[in-house]
Amino acid sequence: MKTPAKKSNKPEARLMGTLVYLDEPQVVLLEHGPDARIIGVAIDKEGYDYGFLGAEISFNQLVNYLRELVDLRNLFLVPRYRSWYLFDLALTNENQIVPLKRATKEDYQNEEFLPAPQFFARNHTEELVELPTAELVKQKYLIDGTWSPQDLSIFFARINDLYSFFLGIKKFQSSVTSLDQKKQFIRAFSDHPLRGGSSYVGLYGDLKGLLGFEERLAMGAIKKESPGYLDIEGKSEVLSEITSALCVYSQNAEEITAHYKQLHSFLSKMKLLKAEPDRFDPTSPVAGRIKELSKHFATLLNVDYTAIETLTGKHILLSAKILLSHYRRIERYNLFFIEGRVQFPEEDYAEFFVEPPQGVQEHLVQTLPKLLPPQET
Amino acid sequence: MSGSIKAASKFVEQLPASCPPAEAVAVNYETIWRYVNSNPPIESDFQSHAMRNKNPPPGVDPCRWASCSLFLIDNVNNLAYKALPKVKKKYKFLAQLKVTHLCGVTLSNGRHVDFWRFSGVIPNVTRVIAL
Repeated sequence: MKTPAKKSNKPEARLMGTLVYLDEPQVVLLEHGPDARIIGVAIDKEGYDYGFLGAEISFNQLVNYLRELVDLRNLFLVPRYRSWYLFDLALTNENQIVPLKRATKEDYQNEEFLPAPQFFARNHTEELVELPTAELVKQKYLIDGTWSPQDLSIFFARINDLYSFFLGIKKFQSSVTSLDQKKQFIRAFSDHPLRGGSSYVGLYGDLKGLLGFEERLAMGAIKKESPGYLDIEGKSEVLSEITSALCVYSQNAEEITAHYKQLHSFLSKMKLLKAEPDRFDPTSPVAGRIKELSKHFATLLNVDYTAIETLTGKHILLSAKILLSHYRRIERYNLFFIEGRVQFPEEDYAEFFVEPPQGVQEHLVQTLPKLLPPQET
Repeated sequence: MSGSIKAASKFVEQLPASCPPAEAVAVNYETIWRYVNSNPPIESDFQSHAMRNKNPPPGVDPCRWASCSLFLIDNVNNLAYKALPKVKKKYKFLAQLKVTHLCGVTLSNGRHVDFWRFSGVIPNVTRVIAL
Protein backbone atom coordinates (compact mmCIF):
# COMPACT_ATOMS: atom_id res chain seq x y z
CA MET A 1 0.00 0.00 0.00
CA LYS A 2 1.42 3.38 -0.99
CA THR A 3 2.09 5.60 1.98
CA PRO A 4 0.29 8.96 1.57
CA ALA A 5 2.60 11.94 1.16
CA LYS A 6 3.20 13.87 4.35
CA LYS A 7 3.14 17.22 2.65
CA SER A 8 1.41 18.73 -0.32
CA ASN A 9 3.24 20.10 -3.34
CA LYS A 10 0.41 22.45 -4.23
CA PRO A 11 1.24 26.16 -4.14
CA GLU A 12 -1.59 26.78 -1.70
CA ALA A 13 -2.48 25.94 1.87
CA ARG A 14 -5.51 26.03 4.14
CA LEU A 15 -5.62 28.77 6.74
CA MET A 16 -6.27 27.10 10.09
CA GLY A 17 -6.37 30.33 12.07
CA THR A 18 -4.57 33.07 13.94
CA LEU A 19 -2.29 32.39 16.87
CA VAL A 20 -1.31 35.98 17.71
CA TYR A 21 -3.41 39.06 17.08
CA LEU A 22 -2.15 42.60 17.66
CA ASP A 23 -4.26 45.06 15.71
CA GLU A 24 -4.08 42.47 12.92
CA PRO A 25 -3.01 38.82 12.61
CA GLN A 26 0.68 38.55 13.50
CA VAL A 27 1.19 34.76 13.65
CA VAL A 28 -0.96 32.32 11.69
CA LEU A 29 -1.04 28.60 11.02
CA LEU A 30 -1.72 26.90 7.70
CA GLU A 31 -2.21 23.26 6.80
CA HIS A 32 -0.22 21.92 3.86
CA GLY A 33 -0.62 18.16 4.02
CA PRO A 34 -1.27 15.38 6.53
CA ASP A 35 1.88 16.15 8.47
CA ALA A 36 2.99 19.53 7.15
CA ARG A 37 2.00 22.83 8.72
CA ILE A 38 3.13 26.29 7.72
CA ILE A 39 3.62 28.72 10.56
CA GLY A 40 3.63 32.30 9.34
CA VAL A 41 4.72 35.61 10.84
CA ALA A 42 3.46 38.94 9.54
CA ILE A 43 6.06 40.94 7.65
CA ASP A 44 6.24 44.25 5.89
CA LYS A 45 6.93 43.50 2.23
CA GLU A 46 6.27 45.55 -0.85
CA GLY A 47 3.55 44.14 -3.04
CA TYR A 48 1.79 42.43 -0.13
CA ASP A 49 -1.20 43.85 1.73
CA TYR A 50 -0.87 41.43 4.63
CA GLY A 51 2.36 39.67 3.87
CA PHE A 52 3.64 36.67 5.80
CA LEU A 53 6.79 34.61 5.82
CA GLY A 54 5.93 30.96 6.49
CA ALA A 55 8.09 27.99 7.46
CA GLU A 56 6.93 24.47 6.64
CA ILE A 57 7.18 22.39 9.79
CA SER A 58 6.05 18.93 10.80
CA PHE A 59 3.18 18.23 13.13
CA ASN A 60 5.69 16.97 15.66
CA GLN A 61 7.54 20.29 15.52
CA LEU A 62 4.29 22.11 16.05
CA VAL A 63 3.56 19.99 19.10
CA ASN A 64 7.05 20.66 20.50
CA TYR A 65 6.51 24.39 19.94
CA LEU A 66 3.15 24.28 21.69
CA ARG A 67 4.78 22.40 24.55
CA GLU A 68 7.30 25.26 24.68
CA LEU A 69 10.22 22.94 24.10
CA VAL A 70 11.33 25.27 21.29
CA ASP A 71 10.65 28.91 20.48
CA LEU A 72 9.08 30.34 17.34
CA ARG A 73 12.42 31.30 15.82
CA ASN A 74 13.57 27.69 15.97
CA LEU A 75 10.71 26.70 13.66
CA PHE A 76 11.92 29.19 11.08
CA LEU A 77 15.56 28.18 11.33
CA VAL A 78 15.08 24.41 11.06
CA PRO A 79 11.68 23.63 9.56
CA ARG A 80 11.30 19.90 8.99
CA TYR A 81 10.42 20.26 5.30
CA ARG A 82 13.14 22.84 4.60
CA SER A 83 10.64 25.05 2.80
CA TRP A 84 9.72 28.66 3.28
CA TYR A 85 6.89 30.57 1.63
CA LEU A 86 5.57 34.07 1.20
CA PHE A 87 1.84 34.57 1.24
CA ASP A 88 -0.66 37.41 1.46
CA LEU A 89 -3.55 36.89 3.81
CA ALA A 90 -5.56 39.36 1.73
CA LEU A 91 -5.72 36.70 -1.01
CA THR A 92 -7.43 34.08 1.19
CA ASN A 93 -10.52 32.76 -0.60
CA GLU A 94 -13.90 31.78 0.86
CA ASN A 95 -12.61 28.25 1.47
CA GLN A 96 -9.75 29.59 3.59
CA ILE A 97 -7.22 28.66 0.88
CA VAL A 98 -4.18 30.91 0.64
CA PRO A 99 -1.87 30.93 -2.40
CA LEU A 100 1.79 30.35 -1.62
CA LYS A 101 4.96 31.56 -3.26
CA ARG A 102 8.35 30.02 -2.53
CA ALA A 103 10.47 32.40 -0.47
CA THR A 104 13.99 33.14 -1.66
CA LYS A 105 17.02 32.78 0.55
CA GLU A 106 17.10 36.55 0.84
CA ASP A 107 13.62 36.38 2.31
CA TYR A 108 13.93 33.49 4.76
CA GLN A 109 17.36 34.56 5.96
CA ASN A 110 16.33 38.18 6.31
CA GLU A 111 16.48 39.04 10.01
CA GLU A 112 13.80 41.65 9.45
CA PHE A 113 11.44 38.83 8.51
CA LEU A 114 12.39 36.37 11.24
CA PRO A 115 11.04 36.27 14.79
CA ALA A 116 13.60 37.10 17.47
CA PRO A 117 14.51 34.40 20.01
CA GLN A 118 12.44 33.66 23.11
CA PHE A 119 8.95 33.98 21.65
CA PHE A 120 7.08 30.98 23.00
CA ALA A 121 3.60 29.58 22.54
CA ARG A 122 2.55 30.96 25.92
CA ASN A 123 2.36 34.37 24.21
CA HIS A 124 -0.41 33.32 21.87
CA THR A 125 -3.45 35.53 22.12
CA GLU A 126 -5.81 33.19 20.28
CA GLU A 127 -6.85 29.60 20.70
CA LEU A 128 -7.22 27.31 17.73
CA VAL A 129 -9.69 24.48 18.10
CA GLU A 130 -7.63 22.23 15.85
CA LEU A 131 -4.46 22.48 17.87
CA PRO A 132 -3.54 19.26 19.68
CA THR A 133 -3.66 19.05 23.42
CA ALA A 134 -2.57 16.15 25.49
CA GLU A 135 -2.29 15.38 29.13
CA LEU A 136 1.43 15.53 29.29
CA VAL A 137 3.74 16.01 32.21
CA LYS A 138 7.42 16.70 32.63
CA GLN A 139 9.51 14.15 34.50
CA LYS A 140 12.68 15.62 35.89
CA TYR A 141 15.86 13.57 36.22
CA LEU A 142 18.82 14.90 38.17
CA ILE A 143 22.09 14.49 36.28
CA ASP A 144 25.56 15.93 36.55
CA GLY A 145 27.87 17.87 34.28
CA THR A 146 29.65 14.83 32.85
CA TRP A 147 26.78 13.82 30.56
CA SER A 148 27.67 13.87 26.88
CA PRO A 149 25.14 14.18 24.03
CA GLN A 150 25.59 10.45 23.50
CA ASP A 151 24.71 9.74 27.13
CA LEU A 152 21.56 11.81 26.75
CA SER A 153 20.67 9.99 23.56
CA ILE A 154 21.17 6.55 25.12
CA PHE A 155 19.25 7.45 28.26
CA PHE A 156 16.35 8.84 26.25
CA ALA A 157 16.32 5.71 24.10
CA ARG A 158 16.10 3.50 27.21
CA ILE A 159 13.08 5.36 28.50
CA ASN A 160 11.51 5.63 25.07
CA ASP A 161 11.51 1.86 24.55
CA LEU A 162 9.77 1.33 27.88
CA TYR A 163 7.39 4.21 27.18
CA SER A 164 6.40 2.81 23.78
CA PHE A 165 5.92 -0.64 25.28
CA PHE A 166 3.63 0.48 28.11
CA LEU A 167 1.71 2.98 26.03
CA GLY A 168 1.30 0.44 23.25
CA ILE A 169 -0.31 -2.03 25.64
CA LYS A 170 -2.51 0.71 27.13
CA LYS A 171 -3.72 1.83 23.74
CA PHE A 172 -4.36 -1.76 22.66
CA GLN A 173 -6.51 -2.32 25.74
CA SER A 174 -8.31 1.01 25.41
CA SER A 175 -11.92 1.04 24.25
CA VAL A 176 -11.36 4.24 22.27
CA THR A 177 -8.69 2.65 20.09
CA SER A 178 -10.15 1.60 16.76
CA LEU A 179 -10.11 -1.99 15.55
CA ASP A 180 -7.71 -1.08 12.75
CA GLN A 181 -5.32 0.51 15.21
CA LYS A 182 -5.52 -2.53 17.48
CA LYS A 183 -4.62 -4.74 14.53
CA GLN A 184 -1.59 -2.55 13.94
CA PHE A 185 -0.45 -3.09 17.50
CA ILE A 186 -0.88 -6.83 17.07
CA ARG A 187 1.20 -6.66 13.90
CA ALA A 188 3.92 -4.73 15.73
CA PHE A 189 4.12 -7.40 18.43
CA SER A 190 3.75 -10.45 16.24
CA ASP A 191 5.37 -9.56 12.90
CA HIS A 192 8.91 -9.52 14.19
CA PRO A 193 10.57 -12.95 14.54
CA LEU A 194 12.70 -11.67 17.47
CA ARG A 195 15.65 -13.77 16.47
CA GLY A 196 18.26 -11.06 16.91
CA GLY A 197 19.00 -7.52 17.97
CA SER A 198 17.69 -5.73 14.90
CA SER A 199 14.39 -7.54 15.19
CA TYR A 200 13.87 -6.20 18.69
CA VAL A 201 14.80 -2.73 17.49
CA GLY A 202 12.17 -3.20 14.82
CA LEU A 203 9.53 -4.11 17.40
CA TYR A 204 10.11 -1.02 19.51
CA GLY A 205 10.47 1.15 16.43
CA ASP A 206 7.09 -0.03 15.16
CA LEU A 207 5.51 0.67 18.53
CA LYS A 208 6.85 4.22 18.52
CA GLY A 209 5.52 4.70 15.02
CA LEU A 210 2.01 3.78 16.13
CA LEU A 211 1.88 6.50 18.74
CA GLY A 212 0.32 9.83 17.89
CA PHE A 213 2.70 12.76 17.56
CA GLU A 214 1.10 14.49 20.49
CA GLU A 215 1.64 11.55 22.85
CA ARG A 216 5.19 10.62 22.00
CA LEU A 217 7.97 11.01 24.48
CA ALA A 218 9.99 14.21 24.13
CA MET A 219 13.18 15.52 25.64
CA GLY A 220 12.77 18.93 27.21
CA ALA A 221 15.12 21.26 29.03
CA ILE A 222 18.61 20.05 29.84
CA LYS A 223 21.01 21.57 32.31
CA LYS A 224 24.39 19.86 32.17
CA GLU A 225 25.86 20.97 35.43
CA SER A 226 26.48 19.46 38.83
CA PRO A 227 23.77 19.26 39.89
CA GLY A 228 21.91 19.52 36.65
CA TYR A 229 18.74 18.03 35.27
CA LEU A 230 17.01 16.60 32.27
CA ASP A 231 13.29 16.96 31.59
CA ILE A 232 11.42 14.21 29.81
CA GLU A 233 7.86 14.93 28.72
CA GLY A 234 5.19 12.34 28.11
CA LYS A 235 1.82 11.00 29.19
CA SER A 236 1.53 11.10 32.92
CA GLU A 237 0.21 7.60 33.51
CA VAL A 238 2.83 6.00 31.28
CA LEU A 239 5.75 7.78 32.94
CA SER A 240 4.37 6.67 36.27
CA GLU A 241 4.17 3.12 35.00
CA ILE A 242 7.84 3.21 33.99
CA THR A 243 8.80 4.45 37.43
CA SER A 244 6.67 1.76 39.05
CA ALA A 245 8.37 -0.86 36.88
CA LEU A 246 11.73 0.50 38.02
CA CYS A 247 10.62 0.31 41.59
CA VAL A 248 9.33 -3.25 41.22
CA TYR A 249 12.60 -4.26 39.60
CA SER A 250 14.88 -2.56 42.11
CA GLN A 251 12.99 -4.04 45.05
CA ASN A 252 13.30 -7.57 43.77
CA ALA A 253 16.20 -7.43 41.34
CA GLU A 254 17.79 -10.68 42.48
CA GLU A 255 14.73 -12.85 42.04
CA ILE A 256 13.70 -11.17 38.80
CA THR A 257 17.19 -11.53 37.33
CA ALA A 258 17.36 -15.16 38.42
CA HIS A 259 14.08 -15.82 36.68
CA TYR A 260 15.26 -14.01 33.57
CA LYS A 261 18.30 -16.26 33.46
CA GLN A 262 16.16 -19.34 33.98
CA LEU A 263 13.80 -18.50 31.10
CA HIS A 264 16.60 -17.34 28.83
CA SER A 265 18.68 -20.41 29.59
CA PHE A 266 15.75 -22.72 28.88
CA LEU A 267 15.09 -21.10 25.50
CA SER A 268 18.79 -21.32 24.73
CA LYS A 269 18.97 -25.02 25.60
CA MET A 270 15.93 -25.71 23.45
CA LYS A 271 17.61 -23.73 20.64
CA LEU A 272 14.64 -21.41 20.51
CA LEU A 273 16.37 -18.05 20.88
CA LYS A 274 17.02 -17.86 17.15
CA ALA A 275 14.31 -20.27 16.02
CA GLU A 276 11.72 -19.32 13.42
CA PRO A 277 8.50 -18.51 15.27
CA ASP A 278 6.46 -20.29 12.58
CA ARG A 279 8.17 -23.58 13.39
CA PHE A 280 7.40 -23.44 17.07
CA ASP A 281 5.04 -26.16 18.26
CA PRO A 282 2.62 -24.57 20.74
CA THR A 283 1.27 -27.91 21.85
CA SER A 284 4.59 -29.39 22.96
CA PRO A 285 5.59 -29.89 26.59
CA VAL A 286 8.38 -27.38 25.94
CA ALA A 287 5.75 -24.77 25.06
CA GLY A 288 3.89 -25.57 28.26
CA ARG A 289 7.04 -25.07 30.32
CA ILE A 290 7.86 -21.81 28.55
CA LYS A 291 4.39 -20.48 29.24
CA GLU A 292 4.65 -21.42 32.89
CA LEU A 293 8.00 -19.67 33.25
CA SER A 294 6.76 -16.65 31.28
CA LYS A 295 3.64 -16.19 33.35
CA HIS A 296 5.62 -16.24 36.55
CA PHE A 297 8.20 -13.90 35.07
CA ALA A 298 5.48 -11.47 33.99
CA THR A 299 4.05 -11.51 37.51
CA LEU A 300 7.45 -10.65 38.97
CA LEU A 301 7.80 -7.81 36.48
CA ASN A 302 4.23 -6.70 37.14
CA VAL A 303 3.42 -6.96 33.42
CA ASP A 304 0.05 -8.17 32.13
CA TYR A 305 0.88 -11.53 30.54
CA THR A 306 -2.60 -11.87 29.04
CA ALA A 307 -2.14 -8.61 27.15
CA ILE A 308 1.22 -9.74 25.76
CA GLU A 309 -0.26 -13.08 24.82
CA THR A 310 -3.16 -11.42 22.98
CA LEU A 311 -0.82 -9.07 21.15
CA THR A 312 1.33 -11.95 19.94
CA GLY A 313 -1.69 -13.97 18.84
CA LYS A 314 -1.16 -16.32 21.77
CA HIS A 315 2.33 -17.15 20.51
CA ILE A 316 4.05 -18.60 23.56
CA LEU A 317 7.58 -18.23 22.23
CA LEU A 318 7.14 -14.62 21.05
CA SER A 319 5.50 -13.72 24.35
CA ALA A 320 8.47 -15.13 26.25
CA LYS A 321 10.96 -13.25 24.11
CA ILE A 322 9.08 -9.98 24.52
CA LEU A 323 9.17 -10.38 28.28
CA LEU A 324 12.89 -11.07 28.12
CA SER A 325 13.48 -7.96 26.00
CA HIS A 326 11.35 -5.91 28.36
CA TYR A 327 13.45 -7.09 31.31
CA ARG A 328 16.65 -6.09 29.50
CA ARG A 329 15.30 -2.60 28.90
CA ILE A 330 14.33 -2.12 32.52
CA GLU A 331 17.68 -3.45 33.61
CA ARG A 332 19.57 -1.06 31.33
CA TYR A 333 17.40 1.86 32.45
CA ASN A 334 18.02 0.91 36.08
CA LEU A 335 21.76 0.83 35.44
CA PHE A 336 21.79 4.60 35.09
CA PHE A 337 20.44 4.86 38.62
CA ILE A 338 22.64 2.15 40.09
CA GLU A 339 25.72 3.80 38.62
CA GLY A 340 24.67 7.04 40.26
CA ARG A 341 24.42 8.84 36.94
CA VAL A 342 20.81 9.86 37.40
CA GLN A 343 18.40 10.36 40.25
CA PHE A 344 14.82 11.39 40.77
CA PRO A 345 14.31 14.63 42.67
CA GLU A 346 13.43 13.74 46.23
CA GLU A 347 10.19 15.69 46.15
CA ASP A 348 8.98 13.43 43.32
CA TYR A 349 9.09 10.20 45.32
CA ALA A 350 5.74 10.83 46.97
CA GLU A 351 4.25 11.94 43.67
CA PHE A 352 5.09 8.65 42.02
CA PHE A 353 3.89 6.30 44.66
CA VAL A 354 0.38 6.89 45.89
CA GLU A 355 0.84 3.80 48.00
CA PRO A 356 4.57 3.25 47.97
CA PRO A 357 5.64 -0.36 48.28
CA GLN A 358 6.95 -0.81 51.75
CA GLY A 359 10.48 0.31 52.16
CA VAL A 360 10.84 1.60 48.61
CA GLN A 361 11.65 5.14 49.57
CA GLU A 362 14.34 4.03 52.00
CA HIS A 363 15.57 1.59 49.39
CA LEU A 364 15.82 4.27 46.72
CA VAL A 365 17.46 6.73 49.08
CA GLN A 366 20.07 4.15 49.98
CA THR A 367 20.81 2.92 46.50
CA LEU A 368 20.76 6.19 44.59
CA PRO A 369 23.86 8.26 45.31
CA LYS A 370 23.18 11.87 46.04
CA LEU A 371 24.11 14.28 43.33
CA LEU A 372 23.19 17.33 45.29
CA PRO A 373 25.98 19.36 46.91
CA PRO A 374 26.83 18.27 50.47
CA GLN A 375 25.01 20.09 53.24
CA GLU A 376 27.08 22.63 55.08
CA THR A 377 27.75 21.60 58.68
CA MET B 1 -8.46 56.27 30.45
CA SER B 2 -10.02 58.67 32.93
CA GLY B 3 -9.53 61.77 30.74
CA SER B 4 -12.25 64.20 29.73
CA ILE B 5 -15.48 62.73 28.41
CA LYS B 6 -17.57 64.67 25.89
CA ALA B 7 -20.11 62.11 24.73
CA ALA B 8 -19.77 58.72 26.41
CA SER B 9 -22.74 57.28 24.54
CA LYS B 10 -21.00 57.13 21.14
CA PHE B 11 -17.84 55.41 20.07
CA VAL B 12 -14.85 57.24 18.68
CA GLU B 13 -14.94 55.04 15.57
CA GLN B 14 -17.80 54.11 13.28
CA LEU B 15 -18.51 50.50 14.14
CA PRO B 16 -20.17 47.72 12.09
CA ALA B 17 -23.63 46.47 12.99
CA SER B 18 -23.78 44.47 16.24
CA CYS B 19 -20.44 45.91 17.30
CA PRO B 20 -19.13 45.90 19.99
CA PRO B 21 -20.28 42.34 20.71
CA ALA B 22 -22.85 41.82 23.46
CA GLU B 23 -20.26 40.20 25.73
CA ALA B 24 -18.00 43.29 25.69
CA VAL B 25 -18.09 45.09 29.05
CA ALA B 26 -17.15 48.45 30.52
CA VAL B 27 -14.65 47.66 33.26
CA ASN B 28 -11.68 49.24 34.99
CA TYR B 29 -8.07 48.32 34.28
CA GLU B 30 -5.55 49.92 36.60
CA THR B 31 -2.69 49.00 34.26
CA ILE B 32 -2.99 47.92 30.66
CA TRP B 33 -0.59 48.23 27.74
CA ARG B 34 -0.72 49.44 24.16
CA TYR B 35 1.99 49.28 21.46
CA VAL B 36 2.42 52.79 20.04
CA ASN B 37 4.65 54.77 17.73
CA SER B 38 5.00 58.07 19.48
CA ASN B 39 6.22 59.38 22.79
CA PRO B 40 4.05 60.90 24.04
CA PRO B 41 1.39 58.85 22.22
CA ILE B 42 -0.95 60.73 19.90
CA GLU B 43 -4.49 60.06 18.74
CA SER B 44 -3.43 57.97 15.75
CA ASP B 45 -1.65 55.54 18.10
CA PHE B 46 -5.07 54.43 19.32
CA GLN B 47 -6.79 54.13 15.95
CA SER B 48 -7.77 50.78 14.55
CA HIS B 49 -7.01 49.70 10.99
CA ALA B 50 -10.68 50.27 10.19
CA MET B 51 -10.29 53.91 11.18
CA ARG B 52 -7.38 54.11 8.74
CA ASN B 53 -9.63 52.78 5.96
CA LYS B 54 -7.73 49.53 5.63
CA ASN B 55 -9.81 46.52 4.61
CA PRO B 56 -9.50 43.48 6.85
CA PRO B 57 -8.07 40.28 5.41
CA PRO B 58 -10.75 37.64 4.74
CA GLY B 59 -11.71 35.88 7.92
CA VAL B 60 -10.91 38.73 10.29
CA ASP B 61 -13.97 39.91 12.16
CA PRO B 62 -14.84 43.48 11.05
CA CYS B 63 -15.81 44.35 14.61
CA ARG B 64 -12.43 43.27 15.89
CA TRP B 65 -10.80 45.09 13.03
CA ALA B 66 -12.37 48.27 14.42
CA SER B 67 -10.97 47.71 17.91
CA CYS B 68 -7.70 48.66 19.53
CA SER B 69 -5.42 45.88 20.87
CA LEU B 70 -4.43 46.21 24.52
CA PHE B 71 -2.48 43.78 26.67
CA LEU B 72 -2.71 42.68 30.28
CA ILE B 73 0.41 41.39 31.97
CA ASP B 74 1.87 41.40 35.48
CA ASN B 75 5.42 42.10 34.41
CA VAL B 76 5.85 44.24 31.32
CA ASN B 77 9.22 42.65 30.69
CA ASN B 78 7.33 39.50 29.79
CA LEU B 79 5.48 41.16 26.93
CA ALA B 80 7.26 39.45 24.09
CA TYR B 81 5.53 40.73 20.98
CA LYS B 82 8.42 42.91 19.91
CA ALA B 83 10.04 39.59 18.92
CA LEU B 84 7.59 39.44 16.03
CA PRO B 85 8.97 41.05 12.88
CA LYS B 86 6.06 43.34 11.95
CA VAL B 87 5.47 44.45 15.51
CA LYS B 88 9.16 45.23 15.92
CA LYS B 89 9.21 47.26 12.74
CA LYS B 90 5.96 49.08 13.29
CA TYR B 91 5.93 49.96 16.98
CA LYS B 92 8.59 51.86 18.87
CA PHE B 93 7.11 52.18 22.34
CA LEU B 94 4.88 50.55 24.91
CA ALA B 95 2.36 52.86 26.55
CA GLN B 96 1.03 52.07 30.01
CA LEU B 97 -2.60 53.12 30.30
CA LYS B 98 -5.28 53.38 32.91
CA VAL B 99 -8.70 52.44 31.54
CA THR B 100 -11.98 52.89 33.39
CA HIS B 101 -15.56 51.90 32.66
CA LEU B 102 -16.10 55.44 31.44
CA CYS B 103 -13.57 55.05 28.67
CA GLY B 104 -15.17 52.36 26.55
CA VAL B 105 -15.98 48.65 26.41
CA THR B 106 -13.60 45.78 26.27
CA LEU B 107 -13.51 42.11 25.42
CA SER B 108 -10.71 40.19 27.07
CA ASN B 109 -9.47 36.68 26.30
CA GLY B 110 -6.89 36.67 29.03
CA ARG B 111 -3.83 38.51 27.84
CA HIS B 112 -5.28 40.34 24.84
CA VAL B 113 -8.03 42.91 25.20
CA ASP B 114 -10.08 44.34 22.34
CA PHE B 115 -10.98 47.90 23.18
CA TRP B 116 -13.72 50.09 21.67
CA ARG B 117 -13.22 53.58 22.96
CA PHE B 118 -16.04 56.00 23.63
CA SER B 119 -16.15 59.19 21.66
CA GLY B 120 -14.36 62.11 23.29
CA VAL B 121 -12.25 59.94 25.56
CA ILE B 122 -8.58 60.88 25.65
CA PRO B 123 -6.26 58.03 26.56
CA ASN B 124 -4.77 58.31 30.04
CA VAL B 125 -1.13 57.37 29.50
CA THR B 126 0.79 56.92 32.73
CA ARG B 127 4.12 55.73 31.33
CA VAL B 128 5.92 55.11 28.04
CA ILE B 129 8.68 52.57 27.57
CA ALA B 130 10.97 52.45 24.56
CA LEU B 131 11.11 49.05 22.86
